Amino acid sequence: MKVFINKSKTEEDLIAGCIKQKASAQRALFDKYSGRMLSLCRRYVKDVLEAEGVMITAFTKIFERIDQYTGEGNFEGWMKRIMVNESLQYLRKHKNMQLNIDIEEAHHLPNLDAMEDHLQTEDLMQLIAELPVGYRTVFNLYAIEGFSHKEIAEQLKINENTSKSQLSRARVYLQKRLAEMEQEIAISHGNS
Amino acid sequence: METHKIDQLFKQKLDRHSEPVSADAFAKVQAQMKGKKQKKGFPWMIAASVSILLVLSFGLVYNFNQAEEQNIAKIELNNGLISFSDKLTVQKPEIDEEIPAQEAVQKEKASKAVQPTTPVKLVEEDYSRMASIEKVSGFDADFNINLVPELRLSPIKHENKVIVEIHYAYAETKKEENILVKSNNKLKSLASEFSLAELRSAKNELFASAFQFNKKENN
Repeated sequence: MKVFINKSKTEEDLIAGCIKQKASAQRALFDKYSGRMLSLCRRYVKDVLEAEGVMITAFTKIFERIDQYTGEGNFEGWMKRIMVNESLQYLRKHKNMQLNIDIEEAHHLPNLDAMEDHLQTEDLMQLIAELPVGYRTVFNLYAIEGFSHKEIAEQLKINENTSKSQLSRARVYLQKRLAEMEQEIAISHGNS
Repeated sequence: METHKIDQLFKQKLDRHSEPVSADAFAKVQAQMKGKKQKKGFPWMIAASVSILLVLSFGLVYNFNQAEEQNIAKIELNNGLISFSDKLTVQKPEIDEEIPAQEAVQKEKASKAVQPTTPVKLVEEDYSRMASIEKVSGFDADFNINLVPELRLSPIKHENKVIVEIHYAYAETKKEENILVKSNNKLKSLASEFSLAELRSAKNELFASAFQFNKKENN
């Protein structure tokens, strides 16, 4: 009787396999990261199918350029940058970067610490999807990807101050929506 | 600060968030990669097919031109008709000496300058100054199609006589025109610069000398 032992490959092995254009290594890498990468793309591109299309194109670029990965820094970070670039390229292509939409301020500030346990990631994804595309993009780049305003301004070809104002407006909107959600949570807890 | 807390909350919850991917997503990645590889080969295939087409079309045009050359049988001159065989070797040019009445007067005037002599005599007397022939050593018997004479008006004039120089040169790529066609065209183009009578006498001299030269070579 043969016993198959599934050796868990290290990331270095996967990368080496991908450099040699081995389909098995590409498949393994794709399976490992595609879920997270799709989530990233969907934060920029609302439509699931479109976001998946962006992710697929970005993965082809990753497999084609994987020999350019020098080994310095986090491999996942390197992949994420390609995903972000592809998403921004999609937004530029579709020219839906509306940057100036006024949003009403929240009447009261939500208690985020208290809310944290009750908030599902899907709820937060939904809140981000509600943001106008300009706010959403800047918020994603700054708050989640960790870009500076200078980098964002260069990427989006906007003024640095515009990036800052977009971020603060995005935060205002999210605060307002979180406050509303807090009330909903309080009501549902009160009822139960 | 409260605002930073929002950033933190979203980063913490969403940074490592994962979503279900379609079952055929990896197949799509592979298809895109395959498509790109095929596209890379595309320009080479176009270049190869275009070059093959070019070679074929050049071959066709060349063959067509050759076939056309061999079909030239008759060439009409200003006042005469010269016939020669299909074989591209020039036979004795028969020049119609009949000249319309009006032109005859001009001919007479011109004949004062150029003595009307028999072709043989003319060549004996005027050969040296009438035509300077270059590369005679390379000149084979008969008019060789590879030796295309180029007719040029000599810059030196002798007593109102038109002197035409014959420059023989090997023509590697000028097979498209027969010698006499070329000569005739050149003479026609000269007609705009000189009077018809001068031109005609020059032409007669030229053909006579050419014929005589041919005879000499045969002897």
